Amino acid sequence: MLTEEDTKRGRLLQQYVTARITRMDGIDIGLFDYDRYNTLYFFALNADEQIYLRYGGRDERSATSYLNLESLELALEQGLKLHRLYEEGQLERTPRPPARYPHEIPALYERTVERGRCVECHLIADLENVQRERDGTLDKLAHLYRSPEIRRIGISLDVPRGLRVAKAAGSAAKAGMRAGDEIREVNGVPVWTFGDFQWEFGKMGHAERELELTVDRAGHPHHLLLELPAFWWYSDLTYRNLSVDPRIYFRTKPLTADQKAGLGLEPDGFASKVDLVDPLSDLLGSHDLKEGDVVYGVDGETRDDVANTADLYIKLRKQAGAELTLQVLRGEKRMDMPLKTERMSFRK
Amino acid sequence: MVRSGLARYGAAVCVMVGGLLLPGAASAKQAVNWIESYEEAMAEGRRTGKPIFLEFRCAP
Repeated sequence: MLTEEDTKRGRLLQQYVTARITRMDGIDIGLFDYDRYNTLYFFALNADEQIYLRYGGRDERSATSYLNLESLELALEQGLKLHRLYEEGQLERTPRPPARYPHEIPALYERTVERGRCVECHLIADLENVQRERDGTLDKLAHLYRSPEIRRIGISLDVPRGLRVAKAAGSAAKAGMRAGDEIREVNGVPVWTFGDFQWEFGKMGHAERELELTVDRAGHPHHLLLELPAFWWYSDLTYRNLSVDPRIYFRTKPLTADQKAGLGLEPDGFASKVDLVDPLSDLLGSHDLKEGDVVYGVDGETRDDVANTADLYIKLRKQAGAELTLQVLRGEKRMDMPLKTERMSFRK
Repeated sequence: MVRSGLARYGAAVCVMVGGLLLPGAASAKQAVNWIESYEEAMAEGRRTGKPIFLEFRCAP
């Protein structure tokens, strides 16, 4: 199936100038800021570089969870409406963010621009973080977790219908959200697509505990205040392939308070049970963990303000390539176990 | 494991991309034209008064 001119989508696209950018050299990444681990990302804007809306966004399950031909058509229609309003002077101009270009990031310049290689979107994300790590300004919570999962706050969307709620649960249901609601504003900012929603949601500080949404219900606006659960910002980082992220070759799942009590472990510690051991760990000599082991400490630390598992603690608090000592419970036996983490060098 | 994950991811993306926008595949029908330069797109937007629909993606 192509985007032929003589289709609804084709007719909509022909009302735009359509442009596809595959190299980020020379692109103002300050203006076109987005989570670079989106495989496809679109902006509807005008020649004054005023952005009307974003189309894109992803979750930890897939790069295409929120991409859909019908919702794309809705976004294209909305972009045309906003353009008409802009032309009629009815749309307020938004201030342009400070300009930034890929060549201004030294780590990115060295790896791509200087060598004449393609400046790919995901390399911007990765090498920006490498640069921050070099500069001592890397804040993993802010810089790694850029696309919060709306399912974590109980919102399931009817994806082809854009921002129509298919099902509300958890925080969203408690705040009064219902199936059929159309999400219109996030923290007071109008949103037209899932891409807009995730972008606004992702700008929130991780310490924040409330999210304001306005929904349209049968033609009437309703303001909802969602209480955000702990770790609302968390998502699986596996797909990101960030080189600042220590490769550990195992995964753990949190233990319940009862399980920790039964094992004589601290109730608020990050003790967690190994549920997956990557076979690469043998090859690389990373560790000697087995499924079912409980990791209750890392270099003697057993608690963290944020991390609820040992592997999250390592990702957030340790440098890639660090050699660490795990405190492990295997059956009833407590032991120290060396862990050699790796730094991923991500290059095609 | 990483490779197979990437392969699945790549396949899913290719299906989506193919469905959405690929302009160059063989077809008798006229496909929408995509400019590959940001500057040209902006200039065309100024010339025609049309809005711009801008896609960022890796090269296929």
